[in-house]
Amino acid sequence: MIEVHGLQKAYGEQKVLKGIELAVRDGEVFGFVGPNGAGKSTFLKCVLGIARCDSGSVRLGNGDDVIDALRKPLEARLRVGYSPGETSLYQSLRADDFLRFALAHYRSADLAEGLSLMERLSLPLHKRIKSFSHGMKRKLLLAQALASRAPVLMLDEPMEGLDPEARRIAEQLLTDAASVGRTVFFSSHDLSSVERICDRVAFLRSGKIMETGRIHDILARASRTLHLTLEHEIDVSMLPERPGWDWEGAGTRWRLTFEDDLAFTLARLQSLPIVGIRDGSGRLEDVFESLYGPDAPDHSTFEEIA
Amino acid sequence: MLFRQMLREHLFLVLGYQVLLIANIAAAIAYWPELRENIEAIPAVMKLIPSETLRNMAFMLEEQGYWAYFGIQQLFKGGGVVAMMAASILGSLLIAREADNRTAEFLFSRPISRSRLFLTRWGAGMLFVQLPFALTTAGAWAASGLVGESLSFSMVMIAQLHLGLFVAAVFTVAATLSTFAEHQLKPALIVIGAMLLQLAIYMVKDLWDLSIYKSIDLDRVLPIETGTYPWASTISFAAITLLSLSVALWQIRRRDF
Repeated sequence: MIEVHGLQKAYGEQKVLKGIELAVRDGEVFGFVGPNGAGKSTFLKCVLGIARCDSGSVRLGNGDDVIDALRKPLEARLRVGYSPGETSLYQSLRADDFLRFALAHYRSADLAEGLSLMERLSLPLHKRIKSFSHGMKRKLLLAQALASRAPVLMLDEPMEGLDPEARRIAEQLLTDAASVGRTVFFSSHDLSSVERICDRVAFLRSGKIMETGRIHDILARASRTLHLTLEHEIDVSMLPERPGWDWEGAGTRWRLTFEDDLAFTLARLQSLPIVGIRDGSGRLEDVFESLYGPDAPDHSTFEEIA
Repeated sequence: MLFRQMLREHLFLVLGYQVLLIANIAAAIAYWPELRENIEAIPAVMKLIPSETLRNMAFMLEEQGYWAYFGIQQLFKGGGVVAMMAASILGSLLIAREADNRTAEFLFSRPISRSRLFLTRWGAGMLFVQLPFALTTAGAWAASGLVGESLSFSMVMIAQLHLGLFVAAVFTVAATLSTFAEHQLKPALIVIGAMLLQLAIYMVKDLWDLSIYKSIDLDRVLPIETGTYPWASTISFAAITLLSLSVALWQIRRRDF
């Protein structure tokens, strides 16, 4: 589990984290989403003591074994398998030596498991890291975090740079880790992965959490979209209108964004000469767009809502 | 593992430093027989050189013979210049290299305390600086027999210890600057620049008492032969090392990576 209260961090005058509140349960896969510069990496560094936070509290662990991470950063790091966002690694080390180095100070680490994970992720054990691509380094970092066997996994952009097959394996590994009670916390821009494997997600903007919730609930609340193909071209003035409805398109192809119940909406569309219909709603990308896109409310609005 | 990783990272640098030290003293020892033949002519030649400091060295060379020559070549030049530069570079890389290469985030996320991590790396770096220097001095002592000279081993190693403490102070100052730096070679440039300035000051006899090089020159090293050890300089080097180490530990605990 991870419990964070009022975590604040500033670099000089610039406030990067403005009172983060979070709670992640044992065995949960938790996604941490936000645009570049939102403070995701800084948050992870603060939790692990890589950067000092200005105020707040962090507790993490598993079951009854929970510690105050800010007072005991070393104990915290023993309980966290961490994969940094930065993939610059020691170029002169071979992959297996890097794994030994990475796991050397974990009491619970399993080197054999790490080597097995590297094989599963198609990583050459005896090649030097300088010959590795960005994606291979990302896989190596994931393998060492998992092989630490720490109860909490904190991963900064673990899917970035992975090919689809590697991403599938990585998603499976994280789901498996959660299924045995490990807490998986990862930041990501890859919303499809977040959507597929996370139980809950938090959206971060300018150092503040804007929204936290179950993926299912957030998607259900999000604006919904229908893609319609019509039998013949019609003008926008002929389309039905309702508050909260927004039409985009032309001719025979139209996209409707709506907030009503789906059945209710379909009933209102019966007058149209529809020959094809596709449900495009319920994607995390849409939620992201609504929170961070050009039409998103500015930060002060969010603070007022909060 | 920390030591092994550091050895791998610095292996070629340490080997290069060792080769440089050996080349310096091997050439000097090979040249000694020729110099010994003409040693009485040295002061006359040195009168032409516009540096009172160098003239002073030449007179000591004529007076003390091979021990002064050994002191100049291996201890003052090998230790005061070559080892000083290696200590500056290795100290500079200690932490700043991690920040510069962007490996610091990974390194400091490992479950090891920052103090222990720093002290382990400091210890390893110190070994990389001191061991080649000490081995070269011991090897030079042994090789002296090849040119028909013999020196007391204990006297040579006590002088080596004195120079070793000087190098330790330089290394620790560079390591301390490294805990503040973002660029891996910036602390080295600062320390080497400052030391070269010290060397330039030392070359001006009216100012040489203001230079740190005065504490490792022949006036300090040669009396070791008669049992006079330069305690004041030694204590200064140890104090600089301990003070720098304290600052480095304070900084490494509070720095954000």
